[in-house]
Amino acid sequence: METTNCSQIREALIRRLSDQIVISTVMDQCVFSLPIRGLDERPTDVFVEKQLGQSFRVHDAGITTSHLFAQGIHITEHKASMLEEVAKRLGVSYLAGTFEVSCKESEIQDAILAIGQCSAMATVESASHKPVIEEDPIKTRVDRSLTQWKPAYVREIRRRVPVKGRKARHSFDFVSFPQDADRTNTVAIQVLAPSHSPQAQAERYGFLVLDTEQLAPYESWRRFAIVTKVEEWGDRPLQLVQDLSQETVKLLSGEEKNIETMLPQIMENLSKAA
Amino acid sequence: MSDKFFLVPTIVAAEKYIDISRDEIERVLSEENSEFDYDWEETVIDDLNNEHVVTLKLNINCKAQLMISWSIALKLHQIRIDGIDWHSEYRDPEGATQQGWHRHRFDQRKQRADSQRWPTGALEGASNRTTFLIMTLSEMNISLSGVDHGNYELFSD
Repeated sequence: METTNCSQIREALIRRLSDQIVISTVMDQCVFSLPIRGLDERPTDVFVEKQLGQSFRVHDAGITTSHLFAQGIHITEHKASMLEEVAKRLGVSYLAGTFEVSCKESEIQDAILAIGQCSAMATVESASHKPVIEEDPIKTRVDRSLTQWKPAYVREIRRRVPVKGRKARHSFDFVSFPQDADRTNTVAIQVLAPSHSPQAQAERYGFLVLDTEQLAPYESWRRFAIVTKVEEWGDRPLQLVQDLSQETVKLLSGEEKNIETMLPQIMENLSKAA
Repeated sequence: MSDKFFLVPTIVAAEKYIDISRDEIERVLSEENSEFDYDWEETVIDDLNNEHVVTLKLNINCKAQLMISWSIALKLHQIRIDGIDWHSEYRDPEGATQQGWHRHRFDQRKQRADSQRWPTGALEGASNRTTFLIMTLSEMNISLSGVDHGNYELFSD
């Protein structure tokens, strides 16, 4: 290739890079949007913050980590170590989810490019991020099992059955109603996930039970609690659920499918219990 | 097993409820270096009136000092289907250059919501974690429990 052509290409490249560097200001910090594209189709933003004296802090404001998290890529300890190593090799640091470096004015350009490079390299994870098709949710499994189980003595199985207590309205996830209420029992099923507070979940269930206790027609219903992710519950809330139910099935994470084999026998026992 | 991405428009448009208070989310986010990560099962009715139960995930990151680094995302099958975050500059799907807060819209062809960004005024006036949560959750049709159960750890043995 002729030297003149190389120079032209160089000039054109410089113009292109220059045109694509966008500058804005946020909270007294300069933000440089660089023409370095991450694999997540995200522009690379680098922040420059003036500090005391002639020192500057150049960083990504934690945007890379935050946006990776939003895309479904969680920064595990292993991934964090890798990002720390990438940052170190490029002369910056990765601290509490932020790529950053302190520098003098004469070093700002190199710092901006290094932070931009780190930010773009961190998106490599997004290339391998694929949908995770979960197994059926527990309520779908319970629903399917109940439909398959439904014997002749059961008139109807309803979902999300509202019940009116003395003080409030509640609902059971599923209720099995018998053909002959004198011979077989109505069975109410509640699926209890730990949610954010197992204690609150248990107490809400407790309120449902106590609010409908000795109240027709619920007083004769058999209660069947299905507790999921049991490893997250703790003894006290679990005990409360057990004390308020005629039957409690405790499922560890990953054991949800077991409910389909357990449910028919438990429903049979509860429906026919004296 | 097949994916449920065909339900995304219905899920995004539906009013969704999660059984947790805003105070509790803020407590989680206040813990050092913490992110909010919550799964729940949502029942969705499709156009043919069929009922589907899907597992959704809500992720919120408010770690950084600058609010523009915060993000919120709703996920199905661990893939973002809706969300709000900030860029200094981006192109919207019509090719116009935009700046600032935007909402990610799911692209059925790519099966992700990373590239379709639409400007949103949802964060207009937001100045702290509380207003960020109120405004973004409202924009994404997610309502929270009005009951805060407090920190049960205080009463544990």
